[in-house]
Amino acid sequence: METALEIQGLTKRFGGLTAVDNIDIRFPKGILNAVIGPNGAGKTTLFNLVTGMLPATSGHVFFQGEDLIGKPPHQIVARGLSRTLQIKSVFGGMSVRDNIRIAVFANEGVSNPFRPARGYRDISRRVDEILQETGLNRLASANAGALSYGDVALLEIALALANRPTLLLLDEPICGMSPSETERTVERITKLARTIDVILIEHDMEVVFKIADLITVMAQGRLLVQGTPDEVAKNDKVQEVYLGTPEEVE
Amino acid sequence: MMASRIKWAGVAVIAAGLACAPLILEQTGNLFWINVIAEIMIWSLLAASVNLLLGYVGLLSFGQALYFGFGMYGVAIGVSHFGLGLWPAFFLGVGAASAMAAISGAVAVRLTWHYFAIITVVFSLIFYFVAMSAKSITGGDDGLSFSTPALWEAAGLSLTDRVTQFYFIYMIVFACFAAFALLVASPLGMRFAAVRDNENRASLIGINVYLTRWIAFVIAGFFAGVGGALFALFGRYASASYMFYHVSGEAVVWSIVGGTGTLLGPFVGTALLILFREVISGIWENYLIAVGALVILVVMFAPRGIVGIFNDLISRRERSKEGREDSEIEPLAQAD
Amino acid sequence: MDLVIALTINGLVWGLIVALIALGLSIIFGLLDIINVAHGDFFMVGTVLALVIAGTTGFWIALVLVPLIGLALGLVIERLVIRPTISAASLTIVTTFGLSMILQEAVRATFGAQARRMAAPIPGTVPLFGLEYDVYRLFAAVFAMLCIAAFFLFLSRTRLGTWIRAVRHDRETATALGIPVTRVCAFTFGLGTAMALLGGAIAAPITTVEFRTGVDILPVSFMAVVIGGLGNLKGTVAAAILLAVLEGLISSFADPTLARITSLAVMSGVLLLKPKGLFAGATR
Repeated sequence: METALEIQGLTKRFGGLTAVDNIDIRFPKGILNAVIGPNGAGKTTLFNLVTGMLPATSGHVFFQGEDLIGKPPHQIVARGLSRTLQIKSVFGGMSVRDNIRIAVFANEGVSNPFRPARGYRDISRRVDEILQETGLNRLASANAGALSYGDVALLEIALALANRPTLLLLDEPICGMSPSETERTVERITKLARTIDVILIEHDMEVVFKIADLITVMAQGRLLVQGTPDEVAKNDKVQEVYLGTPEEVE
Repeated sequence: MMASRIKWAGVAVIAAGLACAPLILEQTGNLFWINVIAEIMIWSLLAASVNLLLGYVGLLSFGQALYFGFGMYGVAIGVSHFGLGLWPAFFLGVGAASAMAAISGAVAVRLTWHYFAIITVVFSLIFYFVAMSAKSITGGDDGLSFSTPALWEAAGLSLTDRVTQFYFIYMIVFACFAAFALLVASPLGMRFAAVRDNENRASLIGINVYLTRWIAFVIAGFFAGVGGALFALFGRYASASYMFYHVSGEAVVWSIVGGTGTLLGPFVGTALLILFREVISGIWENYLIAVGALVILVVMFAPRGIVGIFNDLISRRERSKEGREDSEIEPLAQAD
Repeated sequence: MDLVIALTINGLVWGLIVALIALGLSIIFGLLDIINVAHGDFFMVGTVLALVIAGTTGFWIALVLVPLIGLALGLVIERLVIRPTISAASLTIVTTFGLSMILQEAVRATFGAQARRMAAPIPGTVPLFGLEYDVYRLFAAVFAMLCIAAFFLFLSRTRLGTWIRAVRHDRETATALGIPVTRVCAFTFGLGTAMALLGGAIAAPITTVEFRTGVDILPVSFMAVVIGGLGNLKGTVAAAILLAVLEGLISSFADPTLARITSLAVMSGVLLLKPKGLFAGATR
């Protein structure tokens, strides 16, 4: 199977603390990948390293044949790799439509200072497309700062779609959502995963086991195990990491 | 949208009012005020330069007087040392200011927050002192005087005529504010807004934050340079004292009082404070105390500035008319 | 050679006075996170008050009274002007700019625009390195040094001083520990102001006293803070002295303006290359 993302020997040290420890992971293409692990396992740090938001201590991250390590975030985004943030953060001072519009502009490399932004037809069309895809069209004129938490998460995904990514990294996309919001978002994610490669960090085991094709388990900055939901569910080491050894469960 | 129509109407009123001003003032015999308004327009460009950086990109520069100074000296030195005509000298000034902004910006924009403000002051101080000591070229503290070259020989137009000078300045300042308006509404303008709103998010969607800030810095330097060049032509005079950080600070004050992040805020703020100065200084010698107090009060009670508050009022009126509040926006999940 | 020595010693004297002022600026910047553009004007107010009080009751009383007035002034300003505007982060610099305008103009209105000089409180000279050097300048240097030492002792030995250091280090933990952070910040502003006024009082006999002297002292103090390193108080003192001596040296063979430009260039270099200050890593 082809590879969506290949991580080799990736290490990140913060002074005395090793957050990511010499990791080798291969995320195959064409399936929905999930990364799980207890708190402090290094999952978000991994995403931060891959997207250039944190400098790596050592190692390589191969995406479409290139090593991403050492590149600044905006260049990585330009290569077709997008992510959403664990702590949802959008452009609170703008409308939902403008949020997506600026993302599309940035991707198309448009920065003509003399034409009104509203005048670009094809850009507006793409913005409408994304609004449809994520179901945000009803909120298009709303101020992003006034949205509910669940809708901000959807907007995050919308922003990540603006650059027509080949790989989408979602960091706890349904964290803090109500059950109905969760259902809608999960539906959208599975639909997206049909055309885009997705790697998902999630804590909600029910969701992960339902939608993921391949689960990567991390603990203490290292890769613990990688396998299908069935394999992972039966794995002793995983149970230990999450539930503790039988003697500890008292 | 009604709100933006009201705002544009306001802009039109001010633009038209300014266009008629010299004719009306000539009739009433208040020729002095023609020059005051001309000066307001010139200084409003310096305030606009601060506004671009502070209100649209989120960078507080306390040293825009440096680029004003480059524009000013470009013209003065161009005319008195190189015998340049009006337009060549003008472009020399503006070009010098923009070039200086490009160079210093590449360095300054690496820093953020307080350190950015500090280094902008440091740069302006360095050149202030250089200008003060290079007396032979710049005239130092005494300044450099020159006689203005003709505006358009064939048509017999010269800046020595008060009204001609007014319209010359008016057209250039109008063009600058028009360019500013276009810029802000353009994709580049949206980039500025994104960087100001959420720097992290901006770089995550592919924006080169450093480059965006640098571009804004150069454009701001350009506007300040135009102001400085016009100032030199207006006063036939250039002096290093206009490069001091106090001048930069005043521009920041004008921009904030008028309203940062708005198109005409800088103009309104400059107009208000210069008129205030002209009127009050005749009555109270120590009027600066009132100005200082006004500044503090504005920051305390009206940080959005005059135009900012005006805009808020219009938006609120429009929203209540349409009967829609932000809190009524239902989350999508519940809307089924 | 005489000139070089004289200018260098002058530099040292001024350096110590600037160090005192810069320390005040540093703690305000460090704890309240504001750029106090009016700090130089506080120095100026100190010189004016010293001259006025010295004229009526004597210089030595002025030396005691002026910092106390400074403390009171700082506390009042913090409560009335700084605290209400501190949430509008980048706008606090504008507030202090307005304050600077008010201070300068108020002094001009009451004291007058005419520059004045003060007679030296300790007349006479002493032979020093083959030169006749003003006794008062030497006193000023020693006194400034003692004040700086007292300041450091205050920070390390008293409870309030420890609180100030704690808040500067980690505001949230300090609050969690029960330290009254708002009051500590208010006092810090008062203390910083007092130090600026005290510096002014000490400097009054050796400088021209007029409403504009603050404008010159402000960049100098900021240079010391930035080059010494924000949060590095000892570094600030070292930077102040080094800068003043450097400027003194350069002034002996070149235009004093060139000296100032050199210092500013050094400051730019530090801001860009070693933003934690020249002495980062050398002291804790």
